[in-house]
Amino acid sequence: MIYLDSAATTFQKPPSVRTAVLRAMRTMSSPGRGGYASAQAAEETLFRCRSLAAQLFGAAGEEQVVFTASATEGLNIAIRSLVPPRGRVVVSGYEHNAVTRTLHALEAEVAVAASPPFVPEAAVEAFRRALALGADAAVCTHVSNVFGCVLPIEEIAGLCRAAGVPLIVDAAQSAGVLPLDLNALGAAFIAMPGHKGLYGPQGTGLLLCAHEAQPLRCGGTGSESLRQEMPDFLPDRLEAGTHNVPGIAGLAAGLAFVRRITPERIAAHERTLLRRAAEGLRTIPGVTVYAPRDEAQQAGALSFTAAGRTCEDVARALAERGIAVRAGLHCAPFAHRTAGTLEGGGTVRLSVSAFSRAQEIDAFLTHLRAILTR
Amino acid sequence: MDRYLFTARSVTHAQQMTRLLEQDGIYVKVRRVGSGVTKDGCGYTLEIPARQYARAAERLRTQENRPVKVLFVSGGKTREVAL
Repeated sequence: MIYLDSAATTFQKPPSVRTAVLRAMRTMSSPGRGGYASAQAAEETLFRCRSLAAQLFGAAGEEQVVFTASATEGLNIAIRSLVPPRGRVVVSGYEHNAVTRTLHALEAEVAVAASPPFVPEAAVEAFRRALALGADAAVCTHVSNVFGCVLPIEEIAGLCRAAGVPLIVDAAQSAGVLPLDLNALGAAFIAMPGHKGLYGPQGTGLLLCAHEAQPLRCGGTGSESLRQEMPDFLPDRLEAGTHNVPGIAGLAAGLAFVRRITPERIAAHERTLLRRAAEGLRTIPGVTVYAPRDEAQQAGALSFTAAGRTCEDVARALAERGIAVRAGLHCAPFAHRTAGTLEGGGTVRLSVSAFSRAQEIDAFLTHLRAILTR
Repeated sequence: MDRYLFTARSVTHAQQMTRLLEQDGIYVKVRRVGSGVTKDGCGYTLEIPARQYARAAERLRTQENRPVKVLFVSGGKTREVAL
């Protein structure tokens, strides 16, 4: 199989991730629940994972690093911590349903700072206008999961700081690939999955917290057990229940991998592949490619459409040839509305990782050309 | 043996204190304790031998990660002391 759906999950993992998961299953029990060796081994693993994340993402300390099951869970916590029912929220034009459905459930007034893909100055201006009316919070994805367009998060964070509006960053597509610093951004929260650019297993995620947070669920934490209120300190406040220790062990191994390779090198590798894909796609008649002139404006993912073919048909034909891409709306109708691809049913998205190879891009292009010209 | 207990708000906090002390060559283990120590139920402490207390206290006094409270244990009796 040629796997080009890393924006959903990086399917190929470093061998160290699998080893860490298996070792955790063999040797670790419940962290924070006992003073014996297997519990302590689990506690050490969690702490190591928090330390790696804090260092990589500019958190002040390990207590700011909260384990979640996904970026979606982290975004739910962050949004529900900041946005009251029917509150006003400014969002980018590229938000995922993890953000927009949560805001919908809160009946929030959503101001969309819409801007065309790959035009960062337009995104800044859209946020400037939307923030002028005030907001309870702003939510901005760092990289669109549909188009791979990079949002100018530093500038947007600066606008939010100036306006006194807490910012939530959705780093689902950027963590492990682009520079991301909680302290430097001055963001309230950054949410990220463990199973994409951090190469951990599915079912893992991180929420970096620089703001008071409300728990999404209540339960045992192994601390202050006599009290019936959830602890008022992190990370316990947000981590009720037994942790996903094997998953977090794998995530720690993934974080170590990213640190060793460096996000800069991973980003450079992925951009080389996306450029190769975009150049090849432009030579296929009827194909519309969503890619910028300045490749620094894109990370990890690339969308395209083919005239006269639905995106689902194209993806299915590719799948029959052993090529995994994703078609449709990618759980991000806002992004398609912003880019004008909603009416056509979305796009075909290919997305890459540190393990993707140029030969795979070339094979994808060869098969796609054959599919579209037969 | 006389010793000090540095209580932590969570196992993560206890681990942070442990790492800071390790930077000064003070190696201690995180221990679970019960309501008798924490008053609020399950908790965590670092057990510091009396001879290392001064250095440990100095290391953590200026840190955000200072212990929630410090207990002095001697002759089977425990009392809270200032850091």
